[in-house]
Amino acid sequence: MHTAIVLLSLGLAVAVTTGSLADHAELITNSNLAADRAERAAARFVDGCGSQGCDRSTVNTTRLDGTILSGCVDQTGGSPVLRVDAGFAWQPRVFTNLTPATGAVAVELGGFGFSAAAVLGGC
Amino acid sequence: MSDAIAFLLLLPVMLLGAVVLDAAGTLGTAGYRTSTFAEAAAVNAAKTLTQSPAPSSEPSNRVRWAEAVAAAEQSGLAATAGVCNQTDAAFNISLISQPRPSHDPSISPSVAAVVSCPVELGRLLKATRIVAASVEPVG
Repeated sequence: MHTAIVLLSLGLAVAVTTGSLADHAELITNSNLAADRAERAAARFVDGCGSQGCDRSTVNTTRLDGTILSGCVDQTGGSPVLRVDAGFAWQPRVFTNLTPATGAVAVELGGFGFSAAAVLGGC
Repeated sequence: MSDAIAFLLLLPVMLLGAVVLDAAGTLGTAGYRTSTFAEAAAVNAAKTLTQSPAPSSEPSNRVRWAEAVAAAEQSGLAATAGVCNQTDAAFNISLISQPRPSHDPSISPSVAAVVSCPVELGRLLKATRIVAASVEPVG
């Protein structure tokens, strides 16, 4: 009887741990991808700022892969900072509350602070 | 049941558990490598093709298409080494050119990077395959 209980406990522990490993590996992957996408969107936004102003659609859009990007300007610390959040839903196997995967990046805007604040909301 | 029999039952179950956990870790690593590589490959290809001559045409008709494909294949071999079984026939790294949609010409053409990664999981478990893809618009 004790052996059967130990065997069942072992099996359950292995199953849950396997699911946890798979879900957390995927979470790390997806969080990394989300952070990369946020970083690239922020870089495109800053590159696109010029005499015509800035293009808000580079940081406030839904990508082809379903990643939702949202950008805002934080001016609380003196120098304006662009903050871009990226997030997308995925399907965890066991730990269903791990979705969505998110990533964020903050970039100092320097001389583009006024142009950026004109097209993006405050954080 | 004697302790000896119980031990004989528990030992293989523990070993099998270790094998399954090892496989889960291997698959997690393979998924990470293939997904992050597919993303990077699509971004690099889109950048290369955006800077390529013949900018208004389909991505595969642009002058630097062959260069983008070769770069993706070579960097893919390096990125997936030690994780994917590169000698397996199912191993594949490809760039797919997606033209501007005919129903909405305002949408940019795009390039997709697709990686098919066969993963060996040891003698006890069946080999499996991980497929990752990423799409980037080409300006």
